[in-house]
Amino acid sequence: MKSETAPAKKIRLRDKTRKREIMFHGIPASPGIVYGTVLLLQENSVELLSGKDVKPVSAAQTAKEIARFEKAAEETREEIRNLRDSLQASLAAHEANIFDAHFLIVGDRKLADEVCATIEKKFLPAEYAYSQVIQKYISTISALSDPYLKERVMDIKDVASRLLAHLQGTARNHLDKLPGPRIIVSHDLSPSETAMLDREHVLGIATESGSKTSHSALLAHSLHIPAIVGLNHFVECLEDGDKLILDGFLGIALLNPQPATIELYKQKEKNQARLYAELMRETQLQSETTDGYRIQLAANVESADGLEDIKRFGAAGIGLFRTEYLYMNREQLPSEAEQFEVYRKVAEAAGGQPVIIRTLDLGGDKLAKSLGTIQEQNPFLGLRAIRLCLSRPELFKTQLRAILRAGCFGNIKMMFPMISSVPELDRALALVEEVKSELQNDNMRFNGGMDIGIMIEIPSAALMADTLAKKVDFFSLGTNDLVQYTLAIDRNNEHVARLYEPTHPAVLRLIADTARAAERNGIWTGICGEMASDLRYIPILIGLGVEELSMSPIAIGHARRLIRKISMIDAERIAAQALSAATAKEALEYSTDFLERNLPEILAAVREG
Amino acid sequence: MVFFEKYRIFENMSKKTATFEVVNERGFHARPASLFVQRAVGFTSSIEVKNLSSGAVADGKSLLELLILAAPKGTRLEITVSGPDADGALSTLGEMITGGFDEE
Repeated sequence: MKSETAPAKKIRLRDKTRKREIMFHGIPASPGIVYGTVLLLQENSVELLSGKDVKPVSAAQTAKEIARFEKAAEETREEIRNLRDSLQASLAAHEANIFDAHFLIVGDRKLADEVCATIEKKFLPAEYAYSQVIQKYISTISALSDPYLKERVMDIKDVASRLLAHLQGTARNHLDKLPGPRIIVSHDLSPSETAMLDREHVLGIATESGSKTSHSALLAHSLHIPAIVGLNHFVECLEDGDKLILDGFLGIALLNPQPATIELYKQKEKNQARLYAELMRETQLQSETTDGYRIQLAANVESADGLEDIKRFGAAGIGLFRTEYLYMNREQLPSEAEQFEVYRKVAEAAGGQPVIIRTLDLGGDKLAKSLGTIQEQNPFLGLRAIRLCLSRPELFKTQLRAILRAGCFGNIKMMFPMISSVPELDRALALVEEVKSELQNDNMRFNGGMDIGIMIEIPSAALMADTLAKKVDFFSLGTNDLVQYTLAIDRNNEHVARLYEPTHPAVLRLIADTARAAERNGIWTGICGEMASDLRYIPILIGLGVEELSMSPIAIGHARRLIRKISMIDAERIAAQALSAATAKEALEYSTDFLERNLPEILAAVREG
Repeated sequence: MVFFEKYRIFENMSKKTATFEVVNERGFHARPASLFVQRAVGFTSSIEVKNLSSGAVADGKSLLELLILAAPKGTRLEITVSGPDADGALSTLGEMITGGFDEE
């Protein structure tokens, strides 16, 4: 539903740009080229709905609509209460009062009575009835002369948009059901919105904020669709239904492309298709260096939907199976039986190849409804991942049971995220033992000898790798978080994102220490972060002793080509140079110089698609 | 029906009215109205607030209606309370208004 009063500025810009081809530059976040229709997600505030074109509900339906309204009001109250509680510490008392007013507006019984009466008398769906009633109050208060009261309109609108979002199941524009193939354009996509996206119909993603490693970029990667982030002043220039070309290789978005441009990009797309066809013919080739070192190329998999890609792209199993999606966008926690079915299906689909299941990595920015909303000042330093699981042992044990049981149906390994200390790992391992003996008592079949590994994504874990290595069967470097925690850079913060440097020598030293500690203790080290799929980093990583690279399946072909053309001797030399570099730029140059000199066609292939 | 009649009598018996003047500088705006509602909902009695300048009437337990009353400093508000705890409600809410909602 469109807003009735679009801001004047937007209209002017829009008229100026209509039909003209405009190019926008952003950060390429997922490769690929696509031409399609835009679905524009409005800023997070939900518009009030006008009831002109709405279909009335049946008399029988009115009771249901009233119940929906009451449920949404309750959820909104809960949301405001949580917001107030979480901000209490950081807000002055008079600022926190704002939420008291919001609380009273949601709970206003006159308003509620009127909404219910409107539903019953006019047979309107709850969101329209609510919009109509709230609009009446807004108009009346806007007409008052008192400036203090006029300001309150903002509060009423704020509350109204929250409540409407709840009424519409928080699905902005019904993201889970797109009207057809669409390119999603938005200022920002939250993790929960990303998770609910209609994967059948999303052609590409373009956002103003975010970075290469934001959740929408990760999703785009795993769906093999192009994504561009960091497009400045983009959203204001286009609207729903516009035509757009996304070039995810170069980070270019073209609005209203002219026929000649479309033709050019079709050609590019064809070249890209040819390259992929070539790579697809190579999927059976070994990923071995010229001097015979085998590097395992595994797939990062987001959900049980992506399983056919393992074989298609010739992955050596799954290096990271994320389980978060099982917990997101739902009211109840997933049962042991439900999880068991998913894990078993994944293990069977991998056909004997290893499948590394990462236990729940929620918290931080990925809030799950089923866990209750946890508001934290500093979520990335808060109750995340293994910490959350250890604080909710029952929740954790349900997942452990399902994983151990599914272990009888394939080559499943288990991995704990965000380990930061030895006692934390000990506690998690003790829970695994507890679950094993419970399963034994229940006479359940399970894999008691399952390999257990940990993510190394916190500097403290990398520094303690020697001790940790004695207690586990493998390490997997989560480089996205490792870089972020080592450099104190929020990768989603556009103001500092350029300081997010994976080849910072400090990061490389932590990676080297981890790989060496693993080798000393007879276990292996892999990488399941974004770094693993970037060709510029691969020589450094394998030279540092990383034996497995797990990435989105589509990137495997390029990585295989590179590995088959480089020797371990060269890789080790590049790694040693990079380790001794003073800056991230210098470290990276050792690798890119080598690639430019010796394997220019590989870099060119990725750059040009 | 009998019960209803009884109830009417009871209600009439405990109906109280009094008039108070808004004394705080910014008038009966959002913060005072919020405080007022927070107290008002604690009483079982029904509470009605009338702006004697404009004649507008609001439910004392509805923030939105109170906001629409638009009562600047100096406005006289008539509060009518009916119910079992009418006395307490009237004096508490009246004191809030005449006390200027503790605004400096």
